[in-house]
Amino acid sequence: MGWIWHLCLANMKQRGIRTGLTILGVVIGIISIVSLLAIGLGVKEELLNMAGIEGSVTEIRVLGVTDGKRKDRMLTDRKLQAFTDLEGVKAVYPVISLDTYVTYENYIGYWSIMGVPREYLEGIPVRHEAQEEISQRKPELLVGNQTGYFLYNSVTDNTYAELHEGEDWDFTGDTVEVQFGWEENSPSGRLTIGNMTKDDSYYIYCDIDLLKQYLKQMADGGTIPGQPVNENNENYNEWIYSSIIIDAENMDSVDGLVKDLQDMGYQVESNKEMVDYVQRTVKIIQIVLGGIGMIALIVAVIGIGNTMTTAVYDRINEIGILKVLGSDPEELLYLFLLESGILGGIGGLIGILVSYGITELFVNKLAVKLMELPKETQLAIIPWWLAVSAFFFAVILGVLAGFFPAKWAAKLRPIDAVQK
Amino acid sequence: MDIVTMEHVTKVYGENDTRVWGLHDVSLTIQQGEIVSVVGASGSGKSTLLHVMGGVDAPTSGKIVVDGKDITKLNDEQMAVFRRRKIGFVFQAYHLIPVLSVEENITMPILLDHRKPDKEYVEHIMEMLGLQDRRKHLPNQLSGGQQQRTAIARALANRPSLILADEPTGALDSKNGSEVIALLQNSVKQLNQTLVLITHNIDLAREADRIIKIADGEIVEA
Repeated sequence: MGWIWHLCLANMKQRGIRTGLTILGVVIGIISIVSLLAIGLGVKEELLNMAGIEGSVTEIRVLGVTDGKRKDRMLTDRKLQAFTDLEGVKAVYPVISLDTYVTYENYIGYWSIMGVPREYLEGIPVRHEAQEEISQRKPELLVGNQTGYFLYNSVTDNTYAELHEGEDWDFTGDTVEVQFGWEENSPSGRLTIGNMTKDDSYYIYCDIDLLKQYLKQMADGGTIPGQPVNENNENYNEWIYSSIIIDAENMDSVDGLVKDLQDMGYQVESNKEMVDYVQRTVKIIQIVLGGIGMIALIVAVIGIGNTMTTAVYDRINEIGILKVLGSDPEELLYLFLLESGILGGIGGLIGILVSYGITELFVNKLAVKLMELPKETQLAIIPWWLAVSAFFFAVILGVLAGFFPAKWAAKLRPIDAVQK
Repeated sequence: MDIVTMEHVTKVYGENDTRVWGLHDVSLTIQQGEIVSVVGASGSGKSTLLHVMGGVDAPTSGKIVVDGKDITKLNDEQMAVFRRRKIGFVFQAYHLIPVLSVEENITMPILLDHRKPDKEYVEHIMEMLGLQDRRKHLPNQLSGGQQQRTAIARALANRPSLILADEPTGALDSKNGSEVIALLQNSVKQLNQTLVLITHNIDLAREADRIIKIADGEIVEA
């Protein structure tokens, strides 16, 4: 087999210009298809991000019943456990939502505070990375950076957002007076704002365990604010959650889970429709982009086929010599398939490397700048599997393009080959 | 010992009206170690004779035994093996592989047989043919005479049973031509090989052990 490699490389070197041009054709084809698919993939991520979807696309929210009429639908720790065991569930998080009336400086507002587990809280991107010591007695608030729209000046009736337009609001370190309930005698307390969210959000979060502790203190033997009561106007003897957030293992398991939960009688919210819409859009984009890339690649394959056909015609004499000297017909086939495979492989490799450069430089830097998108936006993503499959695709197409010329070469009668 | 036996060998090109006789009922034997010249006019069938003997072309009918093997019964793969082990070809147009060096061209038949070249033997052949200084040269860097000497070295490389030379001096001037023929005959004698040589040059032909004259596909004088 040694001579096959040697002769193949010697021939490619000898016909350097043609080899180079053929490889260039493959490079362009691979660049087109890889870059366009990369843009398709990047745009998908970006659309999902830009769609304004609060929370992850794998999140499902199960809404609880709190009016006491449907006791079996109330969300308790037992339900939490039951949801954990459903297929396709990665994690579950209980949520206690409280409608509150807050006073901040000379602003008032109606904020819905959500107590969520610490693990969930830690998953939310925050503005100030330095984690301050968590108060063990009182929950600290993680406030959405859009909550300024829900604070009103009691005198002018303007929102905080209107009065501080263009400013970078930061409530971190400030305190708010929080009243749990609308009545005059509703319990109230002063809470510290520990951090702001990094992404756009209207929610206010805090640690659920600290919130439970805090609410119990507030109740002071009476009913716990926000918790439902039975006919005797007493709390139930376990915590009732407002909702439970289920994090599905992946986007595809969301559908099934939503259906299961609905069958169990729960009211469910998910970002499924948004995700479906994005996925449909992305599919169309990918088909269009991939199609254009495919055309470029087909042109490249025809290029290899052309090169290999001329290579065979050019070398009829050489093929004839090899035949007369007694080369095995199948080794002759390998010789040409190897050459076209190498052309495809080298072209593929260069194409992939250049694609990384092009997508990084022109798409992720230049295009993002021109379109005035955030700096770190990834409009094009080349995952490893795309790079690897593009390489093998190029090699296989190269071999296929060389197949018929090679077959023809192997079949030539030695005497015809030498006499031509 | 008979190295080649041909019995009633016929080669017909084309069909019906366009049929042309390449060889017409040819029978002959060649002994081991013999040097045989084949002479005849253009189109007389000399080359066809050489091609069917060397297994690059199949006869229409008849039997050809080379080194004890009936080659008319071989399939393509077996024929390829037969050619690389038993036959050494030398052509008028040299037919070297242009991208390979002199040394690589010479060892090609050995590599095609999936064997390691016997360095000493290859060295010996190159020395005999005066090619040591040219081993790294490509064919297009050589004179016609040097190219043909390379082709002869290649034909000898596998120690074949039979060397077939089709007008090896046809493309050379007379000085180079007689030098090449002298080298060819010398090498063949030294290595105790058998040579069948087609030539137009009657002086060259006379130096052989035997002359076969061919006309219209038939042997007219052996």
